[in-house]
Amino acid sequence: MVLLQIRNLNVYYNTLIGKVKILNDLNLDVDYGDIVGVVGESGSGKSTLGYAIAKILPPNASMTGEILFEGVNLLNLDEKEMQKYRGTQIFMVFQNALNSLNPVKKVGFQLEEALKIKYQKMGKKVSEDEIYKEVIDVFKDLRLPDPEVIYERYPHQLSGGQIQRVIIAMALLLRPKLLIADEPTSAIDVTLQAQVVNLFKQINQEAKISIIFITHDISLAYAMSNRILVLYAGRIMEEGNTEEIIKDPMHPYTQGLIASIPKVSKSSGKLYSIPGLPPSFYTLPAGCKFHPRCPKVMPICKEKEPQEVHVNNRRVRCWLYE
Amino acid sequence: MDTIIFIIRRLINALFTLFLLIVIIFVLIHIIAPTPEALARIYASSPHVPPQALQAIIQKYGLNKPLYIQILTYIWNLLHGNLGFDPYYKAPELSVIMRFLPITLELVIPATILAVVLGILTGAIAAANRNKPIDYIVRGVYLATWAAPPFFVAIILQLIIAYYLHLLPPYGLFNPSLTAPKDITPFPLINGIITGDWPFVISMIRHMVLPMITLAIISFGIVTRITRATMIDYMESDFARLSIMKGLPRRRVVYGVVLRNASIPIVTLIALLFGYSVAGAVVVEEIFQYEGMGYFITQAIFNLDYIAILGTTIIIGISIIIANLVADLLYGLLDPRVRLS
Amino acid sequence: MSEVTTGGLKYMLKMLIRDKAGLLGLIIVSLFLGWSFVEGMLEIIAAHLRKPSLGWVLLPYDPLKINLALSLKPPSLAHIMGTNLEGQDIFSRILYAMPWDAFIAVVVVFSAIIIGALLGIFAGWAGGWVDELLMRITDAFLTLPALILVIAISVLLGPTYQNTIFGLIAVWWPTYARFYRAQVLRLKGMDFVQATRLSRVSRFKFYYKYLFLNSIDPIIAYAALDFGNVILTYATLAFLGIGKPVGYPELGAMASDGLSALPSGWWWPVFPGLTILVIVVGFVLLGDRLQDIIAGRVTY
Repeated sequence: MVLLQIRNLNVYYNTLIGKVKILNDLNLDVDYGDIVGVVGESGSGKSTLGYAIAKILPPNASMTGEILFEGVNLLNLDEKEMQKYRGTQIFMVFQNALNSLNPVKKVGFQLEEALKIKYQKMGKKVSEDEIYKEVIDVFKDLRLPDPEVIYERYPHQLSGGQIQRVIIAMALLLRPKLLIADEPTSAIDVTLQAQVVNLFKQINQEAKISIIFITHDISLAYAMSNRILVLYAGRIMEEGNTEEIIKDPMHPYTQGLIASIPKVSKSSGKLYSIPGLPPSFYTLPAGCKFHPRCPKVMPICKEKEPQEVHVNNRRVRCWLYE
Repeated sequence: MDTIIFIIRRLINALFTLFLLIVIIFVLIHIIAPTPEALARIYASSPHVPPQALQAIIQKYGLNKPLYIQILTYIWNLLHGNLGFDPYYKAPELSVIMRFLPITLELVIPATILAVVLGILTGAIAAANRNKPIDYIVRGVYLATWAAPPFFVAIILQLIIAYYLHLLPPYGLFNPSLTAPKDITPFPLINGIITGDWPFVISMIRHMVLPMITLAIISFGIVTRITRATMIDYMESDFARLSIMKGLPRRRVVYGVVLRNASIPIVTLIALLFGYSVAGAVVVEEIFQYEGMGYFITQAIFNLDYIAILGTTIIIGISIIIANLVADLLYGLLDPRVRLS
Repeated sequence: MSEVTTGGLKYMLKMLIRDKAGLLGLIIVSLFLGWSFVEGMLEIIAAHLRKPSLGWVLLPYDPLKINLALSLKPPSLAHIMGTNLEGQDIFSRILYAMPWDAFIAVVVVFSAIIIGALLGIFAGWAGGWVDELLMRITDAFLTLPALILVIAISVLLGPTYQNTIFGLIAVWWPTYARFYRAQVLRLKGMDFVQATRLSRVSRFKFYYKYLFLNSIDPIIAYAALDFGNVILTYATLAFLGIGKPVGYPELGAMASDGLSALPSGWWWPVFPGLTILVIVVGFVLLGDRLQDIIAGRVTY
């Protein structure tokens, strides 16, 4: 069952220098219950993809194509209709958890506010006491210590891990159908990362929330997702089943990403890293956008850009497979 | 408790700034007039003073003593409310200044509040409608008011509103056919309200409006600019995005969440604006013949009245430092990160 | 999104011309500075040769000639900005006065940059209580509005043109001192890792690069805004009777004289004020755009 279908999505930013294309002809299906890992280096357009689905791109951005959410094209919705989808249907949490809460309002207030909007949309009357209890219960579920105390705290009085849980609590209270998580573990300790990953998996299974998990770390995507999408310069380079991609990466870029995962067992030698830097959207190379860094570059790669091809269950954009 | 410590720390800081200000002014004076005689000539406000008179001034003010003694003496006197003796008004300087200061404060404080309100309003509207016509209009207006000399704004307002439209009186403090109520407080407007002298109060307010609007116009631009820039920054912040994602209407996010957070840095501007308005008042009071501090300073410039200039500078310094403290307190009230840390 | 390379005069100029507001600012500022240079040279030569008439060869009328028959004529084709009480042509007087404003702006801003750079670098370098003291002093200066302090200093010195320049410089350096101090503190952080590995010659180059080359762009942008601030403050001082050049008209002083003609002779105070407004708008547009360009805040 398909929850989200993205068809030929293009996203542009208007800058002083001109119109820059950030996402290029992107197609993606997300099924109910899916966790899709979107992997790419910074500047690959992966956050833009999240913003585009939630329709919270900056005012200088524009997009074409279709984003079908349960069959409804979000691009045709105006701000007011879109607002009905945000929160209860689509929810997004951001990279910097520490800055994700309003610094001048108490944590409890901010969660209550989310719940109140939800019940308002459902046309349900719920008393203050019930709302309070619901928030506290979710805190308890997430094993936040002293839920009543945290409720009365301001964001700056909480630790990074606590804030991360508060935001996950918000997602649990809202119970959206689709959760977009943009690098949710980047602001927290490595030791806490595993816990947060498990929390996401838990809400995926227990609350039946589909997740788009945006990360630069392919090993995290491996731990989290059942499908992986590799983005480079705003293009899908490879997409398919997580197990298959990790076991048998087809695109040289995916191969490079996997080779650069530090392995505990293989402690000898230097860590591999893909040579060079991702290109600027202002100065994209001709042909395949990855060719200047590609170890398997061929003459054609410099001249023509490859199209996406389907190989078995996989989509890949590389001249090696055409 | 923390709040009290916070206030005390700011107070000590402020007093130190004031101390440095006095030292700086004295050092500058001594660079200009390195000998006791040259100093005495400045005190006498005239280069042509007989030598005996100079000696008398030197003795009277202790101008032959070392610089630090002079500074300490001045501060000692200042602590006792003694700013010297005004040669033109033949009265202690502090009492002369205190006659003019309240009139200017009655003008400058409302002007500052008006400027802040105007600035936040226009800045928020511009930020919410970024790159739409209204944004360009707001930016054009604040640019023009920012670049306009204070006297130009005053003259234009006086010409149009007072002389052509006859909506308000062009100059003066109040209708000269009225008499000011007796001094209960140093503030004539408040005295009028206390004594219930409504014709006087109305006349004073009518005379106050033009200079007040002028001061607000020349200073609100900076608030607009910073409100707009801060709000645009915060609109791209993760907490604004999360508020939108919760399902809050964008209007509520912009005017509730974003503006509320942007107001924190803006309160620190209050002292700066107050300073602008005080400086602007020097010119504006001259044009509207509004007999406050500005008018007094203009006279002192004309008379080269050294004691008056020094005294007013110190008093203005103190009032701006107080404005800074008020801004700090508001900051603490608005920002839980300061209040609770 | 990746960054666009910023920096370099050529780049700044290119970006400025692309933008309508920036271009307008550039045009106003160029006209003002260009005219001031030409007219200023003429005035210097005229004063040197004791032939004042040379100073107004480019002007429509002799700006100093009193002709009571032409007293307070409203703007017309002959006198586009009207005449004052003495029958002098206001447009000619404004053009005649401009070099004095340009000169004061240039001298004050450049002196402030030099003094500020020296003190800021010294304080940042010395650190400790020297640094603390300098920062407190700049605080004290920045607490009071520049206008009030300059009034105090200029009155004590005697309110001449030269003394007003001195007074303005005395209150204008703290902002630049803070800028250069911050620059040094940043450098010190890097110094630790980098400069220790460098030879004496390349270490000098390193400092030169960070304290001089890297600070040129932001200083130019800020200075452009600051020229406008100085002109505005100076005009206000002159309006109050401080720092008028002897024997020459001044824009603020003209406006102040013109107050007596209100309301019927409105053109007398209004046009000098309007001229200052336009000049300062030019500098603000230029400085604002330059700051945006340097910060890489490309407008959408």
